[in-house]
Amino acid sequence: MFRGRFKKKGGIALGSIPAELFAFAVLAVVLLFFFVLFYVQGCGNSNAASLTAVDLETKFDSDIVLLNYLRTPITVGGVDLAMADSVDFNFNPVYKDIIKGESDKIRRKGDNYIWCRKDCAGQRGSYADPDMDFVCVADSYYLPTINYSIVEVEAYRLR
Amino acid sequence: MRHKKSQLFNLSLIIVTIVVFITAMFFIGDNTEAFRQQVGVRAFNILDTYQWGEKFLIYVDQAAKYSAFNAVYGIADNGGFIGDSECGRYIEYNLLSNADGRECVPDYEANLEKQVLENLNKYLDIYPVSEEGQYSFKIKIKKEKIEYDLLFNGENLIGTTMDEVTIEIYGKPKEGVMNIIGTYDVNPSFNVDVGYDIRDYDLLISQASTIYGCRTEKEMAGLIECVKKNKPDNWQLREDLIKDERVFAFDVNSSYKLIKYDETDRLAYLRPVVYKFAIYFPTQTIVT
Repeated sequence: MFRGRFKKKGGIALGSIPAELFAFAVLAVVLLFFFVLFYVQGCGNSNAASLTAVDLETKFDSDIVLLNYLRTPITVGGVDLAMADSVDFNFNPVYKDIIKGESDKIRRKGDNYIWCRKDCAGQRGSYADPDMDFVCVADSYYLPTINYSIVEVEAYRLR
Repeated sequence: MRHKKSQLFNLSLIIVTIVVFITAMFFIGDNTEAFRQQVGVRAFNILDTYQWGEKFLIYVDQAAKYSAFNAVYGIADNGGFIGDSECGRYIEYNLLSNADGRECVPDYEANLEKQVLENLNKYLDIYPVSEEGQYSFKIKIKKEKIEYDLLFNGENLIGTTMDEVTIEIYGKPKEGVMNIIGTYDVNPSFNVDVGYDIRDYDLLISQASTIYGCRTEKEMAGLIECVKKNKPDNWQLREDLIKDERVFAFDVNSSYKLIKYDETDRLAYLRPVVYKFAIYFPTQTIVT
C-alpha cells in the first residue's frame, strides 16, 4: 500500500491528513501514554525523601553529640579521664557523686544529654535527678570495661 | 516533506520510541524494589555505616587505654617483667639482682608492648560483629586479627596498623540470601592519652642503683640501716619479709593513678601504680 504512495510526488497521506502530522500525533500519544504509566508506577514516593531526611537529621545529630559526650575530658580524683571511662565507675559509690558533678557540668554547658548503661536501665538517674524526664535519642555505643567485658550505652536527652 | 527518506524517518521514530519505552517498562518492572525505595536511602545508609565506623573507633580507643592500664599494673606488679626474672624470685617478688652479683634489668618497654597487644586482642575479640542497623537492614563488622605497631610517646600510646576493619552493609535479602550492597573500611589506628609515662621505670632503676651502693655493708644490721636511710620516700621496704639473706623486697608507689579492677568487691577504682621487686645485696664483685 505504502509502496504505491511513496511513488507519488508530494508524499504519503492517510485520507486527508498528511503523514507527517499523523506521525507527530502518534508520537505525542505514545509519549503521553508512557508518561502516565511511569507516573502511576512512581506514585507515593514523592514526599518520602524529605520525611526521611528530617528523621535522620535528629538521629545523626544525637549520634555525634553522644560521641563527643563520651570523649569529653573529666577529672576524677585528680586524674584526667574521659566521660567514657566513667562507665566503669557506674556501680562504685565512691565515685558516683564526682561523676554526677562532672556530668552536670557538661549538661549545663550543652545539650542536656546524659548517657546510660543499657544493663542498668533502672539506674539511669544515677547521673541525673530522678524526676528529670529523659528520652532516648540515639543508637547505642559499645564500650569496654576494665575487666574485659563490654557494656552498651545509650544517649538520653532532657525532654 | 518531499523526499521518501524523510518520510521513512517519521515512522521509524515512532517505532523506535515505542520499542524504547516498552523495553524501559520491562526493565523497570524487574527492578521495582529499587525504584520503590525512598530517595536518598542508600546515601543515608552510607552515613549510618560511617557512624558504625565511629562506634568501633571509640571502642578501640577505650580498649587500647584499658589494655595499657591492665598491662601497666600487671608488669609493675611483676617488677617490670613478664613471668620470672632471670635472677629468680624472692618469695613473690622478682629479683633485680641475685646472689652472684648479677643485675637483671627488665626490658620494660618490650614487655609492656607485648602485654598491651595481648590485652588489646582480648578486647577486640569480644566486640559484637553483627548488628541490626537502623537504616540498613543489617551490618556486619569483619575484622581479622589486627596487627599493631605500638609506640609509647610521653603519656600517649600510639597504635598504628595497615589493617582495615570492613563493615559490610546488607540490603534486603534476595531469595533468602543476604545481599551485600557495599562495604566501608576503617583504619583502626589510635592515639590515646593513658596518663602514664613509661619513663617512670628509668627513674626507678636509677633510684635502685643508688641504694645498691649499700652492698658494701658487711653486717646485716648495717645493711638494713643503710637501705632504710638511702631509699626514696615512696619506696616501702617490706620489713616483714626480711630474713637472714641479704635480699630486700620493695613496694614502690608511683605518682601515676590508673583505673584498676578490684576482684574482691568487683568494682573499678583509681589506684596508684605499685612497682614490686626485690634486690639482692651481694658482698662479692658485681657481674653485669
